[in-house]
Amino acid sequence: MAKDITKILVTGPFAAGKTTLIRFVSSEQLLSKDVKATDGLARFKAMTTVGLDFGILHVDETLDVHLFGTPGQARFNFMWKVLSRGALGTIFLVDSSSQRAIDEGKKMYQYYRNKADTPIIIGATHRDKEGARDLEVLADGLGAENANIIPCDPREKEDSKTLVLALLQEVIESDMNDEQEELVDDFELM
Amino acid sequence: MMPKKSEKKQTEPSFKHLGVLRKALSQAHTGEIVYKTNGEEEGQIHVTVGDLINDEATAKALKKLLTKSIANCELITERIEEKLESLAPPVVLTRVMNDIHWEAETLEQLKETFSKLPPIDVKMIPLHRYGYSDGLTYLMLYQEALKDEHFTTVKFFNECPFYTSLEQQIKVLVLGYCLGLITPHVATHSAKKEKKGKGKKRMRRTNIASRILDKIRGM
Repeated sequence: MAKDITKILVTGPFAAGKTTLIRFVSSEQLLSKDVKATDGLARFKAMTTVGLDFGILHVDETLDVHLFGTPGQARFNFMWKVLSRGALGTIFLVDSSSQRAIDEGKKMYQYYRNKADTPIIIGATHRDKEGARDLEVLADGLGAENANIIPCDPREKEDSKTLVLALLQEVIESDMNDEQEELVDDFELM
Repeated sequence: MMPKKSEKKQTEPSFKHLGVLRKALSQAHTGEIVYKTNGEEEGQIHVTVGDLINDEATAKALKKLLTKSIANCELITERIEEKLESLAPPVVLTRVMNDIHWEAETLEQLKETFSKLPPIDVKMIPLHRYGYSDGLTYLMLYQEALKDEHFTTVKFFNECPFYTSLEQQIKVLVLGYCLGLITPHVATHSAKKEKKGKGKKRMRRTNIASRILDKIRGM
């Protein structure tokens, strides 16, 4: 029996935790091409992803989820469009302690918001670092005033799971607004 | 001696006025919420397409509705907008909720009332952007509901960390309930039921998302 395959995109500026998140959520990680950072980013991060991260989550016998992580540097932005095509949704990670990452993230976020007609969840990472922005400041910085932003640490498996769960709930809610509307009336406090 | 049924009914607190507020806000009504407290004080709140006027009079009337014992409350509607998407930013309610304090007895009564709700789903909205000072407790409620397919308010009360007070918990429940962010749990697989004439592609996507959701909850 042929398997259904669906795709979730994990994106965001460099050093946000995309590779780590995919590692935790995948049943198997097939590809992660990390190389030594050679440009200005080397100050921030020793290894960085070029090409893409790729992991598979086996849901059941008839469904696999392919998790694609885009490289975070702007010069790879030609890949964003290719990878976002047909995705169920996008997890957008951003280092909330770095102004450079937030500035870079703004361009990426606007790109995905405009091009992809699928739900996006923002994960604010590096919350334990000095200078981590308030969620409101981060939303302003990304130009994502009405977006859902969830603080998270992708190094924690539960946080990584929560982000994916949040994205899936967004997908379901966006599909089910009609049914929810009908249910509101029946939800009385006794 | 057991109180007569009618006497008992009078002493039992009722929070049905929260349902009236929920209906007005989450279904984008236009009209008046009219209420009377058990102390015979009257109040009314104007609602325009599910939005409240951001002024002191409305905030005062809303605060009274949320904190006093309410004898009766009704929504007199002028019209209902068709789309739920017209839900207005909840700035007045969040502002009022920041300043509200309930007596311990009322908190327990609210806890008991909310504990009777069936399993819930919680929608995420960035409440901090609307001036609510305790977005983290709401986030906690949201995250717990995400992880547990049969999440109930009872679990929320039982499993909250020690540093979160009952009042903080009640506040986010009242906020979520009144804004329509807390809804009865829809079994994810029932989401697969295809409505006549609705897009197959959309239902397939919901089906797939539901299955992944179940898988990740079990990981």
